[in-house]
Amino acid sequence: MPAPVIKHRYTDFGADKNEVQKFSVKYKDVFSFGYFYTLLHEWMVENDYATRSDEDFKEVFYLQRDSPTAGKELWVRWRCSKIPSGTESKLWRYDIDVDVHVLGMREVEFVYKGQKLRADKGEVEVSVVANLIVDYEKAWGKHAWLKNYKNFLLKKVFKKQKEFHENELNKDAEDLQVAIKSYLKLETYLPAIEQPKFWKTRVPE
Amino acid sequence: MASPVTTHNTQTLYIKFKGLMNLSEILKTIKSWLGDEYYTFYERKHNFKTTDSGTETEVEMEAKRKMNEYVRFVHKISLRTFDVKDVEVVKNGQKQQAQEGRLTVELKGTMDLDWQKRFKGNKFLQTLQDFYHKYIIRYEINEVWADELFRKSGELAKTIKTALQMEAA
Repeated sequence: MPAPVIKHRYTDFGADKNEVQKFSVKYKDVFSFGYFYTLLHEWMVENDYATRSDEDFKEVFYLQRDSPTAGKELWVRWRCSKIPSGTESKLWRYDIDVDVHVLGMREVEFVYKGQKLRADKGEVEVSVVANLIVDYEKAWGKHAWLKNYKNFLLKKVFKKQKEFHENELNKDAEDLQVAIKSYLKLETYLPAIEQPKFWKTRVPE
Repeated sequence: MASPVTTHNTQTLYIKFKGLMNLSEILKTIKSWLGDEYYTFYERKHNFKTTDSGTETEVEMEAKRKMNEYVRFVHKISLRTFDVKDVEVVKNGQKQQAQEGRLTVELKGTMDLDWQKRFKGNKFLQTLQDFYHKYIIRYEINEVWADELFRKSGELAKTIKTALQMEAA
């Protein structure tokens, strides 16, 4: 039996993969990892990047290393994607890759406004990459006529549409960034969040 | 033949500050200035940690603006705060919450030529691009766009200094 070929999932896409947004948020202090994890999951569900069904949720990797001296180390990798609503063509797909790395996490107890609370203390880093995938089913690539004119059509005919989808994906990625930063109580740029979010911030209020 | 130069960097500008500040306001000021100047804004990195001497924040931002079909400006802004502590100050007779600490800002301006990669492909196009840069738009690159980029970096630095209420803003 021939050895399996190991390759990156985007290798075959080449220029059809467009990186729209890339950012990382790193935080070292007290937070609740359980709540943070739920928040990210809820954001994915709310924004149609995943369904409620846990079986279909694309958590491709989860690693936890417990050490009595260094605390817990976690690696979580999500590869979520969404087909934009309102488009009938199978041309565009929004991919959001989330990598969460937690280092030295320990459970701590603290008193806040007379209440004894339990939380985690450690370092969490969230790296997000948002990619716009063009012709995700490679239908155009297989088509006898379209495969020769694909680049021309994308550059000339579908230019505006591509820009629109890039902007939409960028907005989604920025919204995720705001959600992460609001929970961690980090500085955000929007003057006011457009509508009240359902998630809490790291400090109970 | 070496491939033609397609990026030009301006002098990096540094701002150092120690005193009372409001990081949130500074970030919003930068974002607002970039928005007013038609730049597309990205926050690439946001690190926060607490230490014994206070909190530390590191923010890396990137802003891009297409000046024309060939030239694009990219500003990379790095902010780092150290030893930041929350303090109470009295301003206009009223008690207010503020932050005290150290801040360093680094502003890098880059000019991307041929951002649409129209000359990318073969050696003939690269030679053509080299000729175009050296003999046709040389003056425009060095005298017009490089100056404009440096002026924009300076304006941004001035905006940050004003937000920090520095003396020589």
